[in-house]
Amino acid sequence: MKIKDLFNDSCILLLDGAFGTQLQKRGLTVGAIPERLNVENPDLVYSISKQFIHAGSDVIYTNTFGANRKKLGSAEEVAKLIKAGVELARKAAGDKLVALDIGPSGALIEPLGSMTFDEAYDLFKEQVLAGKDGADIVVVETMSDLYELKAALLAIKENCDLPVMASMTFDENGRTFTGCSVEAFAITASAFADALGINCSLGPDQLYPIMQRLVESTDLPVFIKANAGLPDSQMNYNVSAKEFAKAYEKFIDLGVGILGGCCGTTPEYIAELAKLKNKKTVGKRKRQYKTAVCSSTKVVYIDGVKVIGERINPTGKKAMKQALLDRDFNYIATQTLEQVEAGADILDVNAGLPQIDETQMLCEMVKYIQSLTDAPLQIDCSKPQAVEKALRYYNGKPIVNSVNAEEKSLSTILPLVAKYGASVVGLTIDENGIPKTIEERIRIAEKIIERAKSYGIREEDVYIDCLTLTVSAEPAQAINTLKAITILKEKYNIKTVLGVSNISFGLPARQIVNTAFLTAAMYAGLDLPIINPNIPENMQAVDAFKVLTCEDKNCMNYTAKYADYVGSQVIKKEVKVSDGSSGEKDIFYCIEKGLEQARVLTAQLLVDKSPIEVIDNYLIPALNKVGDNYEKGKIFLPQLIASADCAKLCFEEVKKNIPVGQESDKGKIVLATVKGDVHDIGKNIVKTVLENYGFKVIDLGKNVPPMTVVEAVKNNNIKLCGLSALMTTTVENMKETIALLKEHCPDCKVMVGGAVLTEEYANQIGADKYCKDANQSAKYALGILTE
Amino acid sequence: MKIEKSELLRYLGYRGQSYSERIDEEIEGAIALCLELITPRSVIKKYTLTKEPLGLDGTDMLLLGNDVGRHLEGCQEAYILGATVGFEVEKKSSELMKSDPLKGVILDSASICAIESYCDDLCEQLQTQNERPLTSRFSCGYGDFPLSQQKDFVRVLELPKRIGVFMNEESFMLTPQKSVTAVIGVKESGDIQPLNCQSKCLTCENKKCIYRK
Repeated sequence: MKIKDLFNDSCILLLDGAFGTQLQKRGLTVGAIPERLNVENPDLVYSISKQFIHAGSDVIYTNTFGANRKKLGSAEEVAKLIKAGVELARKAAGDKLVALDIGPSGALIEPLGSMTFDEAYDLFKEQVLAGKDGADIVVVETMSDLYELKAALLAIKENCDLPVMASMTFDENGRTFTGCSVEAFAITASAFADALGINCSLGPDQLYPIMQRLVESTDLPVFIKANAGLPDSQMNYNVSAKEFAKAYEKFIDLGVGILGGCCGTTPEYIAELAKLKNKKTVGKRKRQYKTAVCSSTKVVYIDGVKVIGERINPTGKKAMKQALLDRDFNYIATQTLEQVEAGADILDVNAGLPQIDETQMLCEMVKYIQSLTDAPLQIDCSKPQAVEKALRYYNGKPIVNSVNAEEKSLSTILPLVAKYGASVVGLTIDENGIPKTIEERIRIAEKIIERAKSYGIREEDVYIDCLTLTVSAEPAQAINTLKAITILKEKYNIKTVLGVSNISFGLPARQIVNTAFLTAAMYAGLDLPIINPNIPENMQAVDAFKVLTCEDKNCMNYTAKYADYVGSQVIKKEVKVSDGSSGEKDIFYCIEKGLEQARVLTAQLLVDKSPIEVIDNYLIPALNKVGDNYEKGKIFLPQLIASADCAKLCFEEVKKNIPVGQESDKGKIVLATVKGDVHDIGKNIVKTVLENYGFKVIDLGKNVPPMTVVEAVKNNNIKLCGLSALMTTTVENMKETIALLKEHCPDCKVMVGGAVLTEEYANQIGADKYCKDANQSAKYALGILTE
Repeated sequence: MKIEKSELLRYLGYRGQSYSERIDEEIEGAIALCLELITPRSVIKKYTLTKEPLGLDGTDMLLLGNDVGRHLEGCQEAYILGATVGFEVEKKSSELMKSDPLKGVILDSASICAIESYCDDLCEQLQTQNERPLTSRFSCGYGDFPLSQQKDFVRVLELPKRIGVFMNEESFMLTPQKSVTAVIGVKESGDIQPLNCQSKCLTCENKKCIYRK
């Protein structure tokens, strides 16, 4: 049974009102668990449901909103209270419908919180299994985290066949507390639910504009459960039942046919809504489908040229390859942030290296990158298992890159794209290999489009790649590719995608050809060029194209970006040799003051001094002086950081002068914020300073289990590990981590820091060193690692 | 709601050092960015206090420890408060810690100023609604008021649902980090004291604290 079958387009379906409000009116202690009443006072629960039925509800929610293991303590209790809740609702409902109600877990999923996605899934799965028998619908409501909603929806879809309603809670700005926009909700959840809604937080008038946006963003039936206005400090709500129903008329006109109430609404409110059934017919919805991908906080509409950044891919990129082999997530972070800064709208993520477990790595990269940026991702992989895992843990609607027209590819990847509601890149290749003609390309594209549709994937969500072939090897193919793009775009509602730079392989001055091909392809109808956005010429071509096609209205963006443009050489900020003009100071002074000029001075020093000499006689002593000044209180934290940042530039300059393979290694340090600690700014300050002293930092992040620290120390043969804890409550975990380290890696020294620690406390828990600030960590590290 | 530069400097460990124009620009920039990114939200409820044990009437929440009892001496009623400046500013600071640590550190401190200032504003508003004097804010972790009581605030104020504040069950840390819970007593008699955080430092046991005023 689908929600669509429950009501026809012009009929109103009535949900119920607030359960909690009713329970509190009848004396439920504030803060007590309302679901316990399902066994402790079943008559009360039954009578409330019954009142809603009498008032006219067609669907009543079970009293199971918070009945999860996090809140109740055990799976047995979950099963008991949910089963009882469903039975009571069933008994009260008669021939009306029962919706198994699932609310948020109350905990946050990583990276915002410490619960894993899988843990969240398991919590919801328990609820579904306990309540599916006897329920007609499952409803997930009051969600504020899209990731948690996705875990819940997957748990429902994979563990029962009931139709699913999903609703989130939005602020007046149309975003949830965690920043998820109503559009991102609609675009992501449409694949997993049968109806989408908005509930709680605000009264009907404030929710109306948000509902308008929801209706614009999904084709599914929509529902509304507004609060009875806003509460005062005694929890009284300010919109009466009659006013409430009056305000709901607008929703019905908008095409919202499923109506109920949230906090503060009583059976009286539902009775008022019931009167609308004979009075109003549900407005017709018409909507133009907009092709889009999204993260939880950002939607990218493919309504013009959007740039896919290609840098997070080891193919042909030595540094990225090494980063993947070393699990160097810092490098991946840099590539991520740089590309977004340079103007990439979407980031391609590829973990294809024979030496590593691609399934595991791709998934880790997706999780990591989505914690860093709000740019949507393109999962670049054709192995079904790896694609599925990445799709599962992606928070939003991604692109899968790619399928081709071979049966094996179509039948394994497309079902995953459909299940997780992604977009998909279709490569125009089939069993016969790469096509030579325009017609062949079109025929193959058509096959992919048809097959995608047969799995329920919309044409608009298929992005066809007509293949960039190297023009020096296959001179005729460049034009064929462009023509095929144009024909396909005219004939179908698809989008097109193309990796651009392959065109110039083997030629000198490749960028000239790349830019020309990119420009030509955009005119041919290319929507999504996959390029390196850090190359100015690439973004310039895109920016100019948007001017010429009037996408950039009044050249606003172009003018803002290029007003000060004086040629690409200058933009690249090449290091100039200083002319010794006024204000030039020595390198000690520049590092102390955090002046970028230090980089130039380093370059000058390197003319007649070896890199090691520069490091040992200039950079380290300069940093030590800064450290001493900080310790004596002559400078304060921002100045310490500015100096450290500046020293980093100098180290970069030195590195350029060290032949590959002879890099002097100041040593590696593992840093982690211990388990339970979910904030890590202090640790990050330490990391900045250590890196700028030339140490390589393996940053394990926050909320790190003790054994993970031990493994990282062991695997990298680490001699110094830094741990941070912020709260008295997590110092215990620090102690446990130190004990494990001492057991498994007795050679590794442990330095600790954090708000609640003291020297004495650090000794008690077995640390080798207490560092009161970042500067002390650097000093200690110098002592330990460069002896 | 305001972010005082002097407060921000205090959180950054400033002790009268001279600093460059660039740092000054960074500070001004961080203040502006912080004000742009914060989404202040709060929930406040008022309860009659029960005595022996001290608690909030109509709830299952007790207020444990001697210090909170001392703080609420002479009070029949109390407000409990939960407040936050939201996720976005925090996400930005941690992103900046990776790309531009100087900006990251300053923005983080600016958001501490923001939540403190927001709480001050809320308390001032409450005072204007009351003819009787209010006590200063008293939060878990002050004196012997146990950190574990954070979970009672979270539950009774329904913080995840009302304002998007979540608690780590192991450490009782709140997320977003720049969030505050507190109890504020309504005194039966006495003069209304101007609300400022000086009183907080005066009553604090940690005499060595670097942020002490």
